[in-house]
Amino acid sequence: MIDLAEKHRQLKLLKWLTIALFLKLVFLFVYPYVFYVQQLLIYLAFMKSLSYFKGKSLAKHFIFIGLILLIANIVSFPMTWYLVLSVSVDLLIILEFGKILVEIEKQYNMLDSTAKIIKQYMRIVLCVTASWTFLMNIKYFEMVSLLIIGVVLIVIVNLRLLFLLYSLRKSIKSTMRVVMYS
Amino acid sequence: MNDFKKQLDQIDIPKSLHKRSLQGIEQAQQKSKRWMPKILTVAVTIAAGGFIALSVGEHNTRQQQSSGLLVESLSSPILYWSIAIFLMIMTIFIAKMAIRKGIDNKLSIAMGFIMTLLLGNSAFYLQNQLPRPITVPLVQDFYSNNETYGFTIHYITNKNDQRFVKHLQVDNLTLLARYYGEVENKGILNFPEGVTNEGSHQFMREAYFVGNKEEIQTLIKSKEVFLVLDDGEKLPTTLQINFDHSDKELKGFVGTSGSFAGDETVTFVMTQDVVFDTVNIPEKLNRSISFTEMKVNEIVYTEKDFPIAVKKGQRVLISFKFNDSGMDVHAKVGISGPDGMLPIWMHREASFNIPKIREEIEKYD
Repeated sequence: MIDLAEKHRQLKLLKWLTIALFLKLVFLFVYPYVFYVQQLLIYLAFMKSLSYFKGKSLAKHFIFIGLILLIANIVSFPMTWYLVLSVSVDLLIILEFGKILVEIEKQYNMLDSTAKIIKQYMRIVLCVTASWTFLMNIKYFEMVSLLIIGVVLIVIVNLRLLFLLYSLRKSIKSTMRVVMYS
Repeated sequence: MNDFKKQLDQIDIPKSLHKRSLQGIEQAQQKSKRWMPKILTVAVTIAAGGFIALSVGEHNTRQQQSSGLLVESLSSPILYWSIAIFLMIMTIFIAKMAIRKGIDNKLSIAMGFIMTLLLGNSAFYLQNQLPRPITVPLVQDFYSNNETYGFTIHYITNKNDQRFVKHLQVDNLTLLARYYGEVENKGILNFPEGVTNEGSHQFMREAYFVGNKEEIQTLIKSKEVFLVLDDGEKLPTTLQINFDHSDKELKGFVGTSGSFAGDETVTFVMTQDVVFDTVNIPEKLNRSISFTEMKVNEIVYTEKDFPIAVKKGQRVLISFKFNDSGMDVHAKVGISGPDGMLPIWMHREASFNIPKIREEIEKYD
């Protein structure tokens, strides 16, 4: 059986991951400086979440790359490049977290919906990123519409992931109750 | 099932052996994955460095306008494309290596594809950047009996160029540009003020100036006119302005009609008997405006039929045509005879066609 401390740790991991994803829902790249702070907070939340994970994960390296990108962007970096690179690095981070989630799911013998959702997440985000590479070569109206479509898609997949995290937390909590009363 | 689990739990594995197997698994996992963050970091660093180098290179060209050779060599599209293609090959190589090392095939192919797209788009973007803003030549005649004279000069800047024209400078005269709102272009989604036309990579913006008679006269006399950006860079401008010198203007203007294709037809009803023998188009406009036809009583005359006699009370339609040229025109043309001239004012803004505008500028240099 999984001991209580481990469960608490997993709960905290999920909590911080939820916070990070929740922060990602708000797209603020209209205001450059607020955007940097938001991105920094997201990475901090990811790191905090990762600190509750005992095994090995590549997410740490990806978060590091993301931070480097953030600094490079503050110094001098084209906005489109930053958008594309940061979205793909965030995708890599979330894929790593997806592996952790799948592991947690396995421990509780739940239906494996995580792998499927993560796969869809990957596909949609990759499509959005590919379309965003064209941002620098098109007119204003097309640029804004591409950005809005991409943002809406990313928000939708993030929301879906948030619901998944919520159900995971709920089921872990329910097993804890069983342990406590038994 | 539970029994089987219990049995499994009961099987004694020597603890040292168990530990070692765990270590082995850990090591194997590490070995298969440790390369990836490194390669990714290298790829991102190379890409970032390459792009920063390119943009810095572009910046330098902007400052060193005097050395034409450098400008040409640095802004030549071949350079951008060769760097981009090199980086693309690197990306494909890295993606291939990633696949060989066992990362998810689809993911690495997709990532490589996105990087390739990004590099290709960037090269295309850099290829289409202007080394420095250019101004659209302006031909303008002013009504001579006005008190103040306003005119608009269009200029083309790169979209990421946040500078704007602050004033116009001639010898020791400066005319401040007038804007109606915030001119600076901030952030990715902001649309700057004063943009009249938009291409994929450039904005056409306008600067409006107002001067009195003396100021306009100094403008007419001077040969070199500069638009000065807010950071101090001077853009040479081709201005051909003049007051309209009308000795004898015939009356009878009724109406005017123009089409988007650049035709301009003006209707007159003659107030006296006149003979027309010449078409008046200023020399500077020879290439951009041409006389098409003149209709008297539904009979069409062309330039070959001149001179033409028109009687009092007859309705005359005169058509001129704009050829597509890269300059702004607000000028007076017309047809004239010994008794006077029928004036026709032609207004047209240059289409957003950078090669055409460049060609026009070179003609005046």
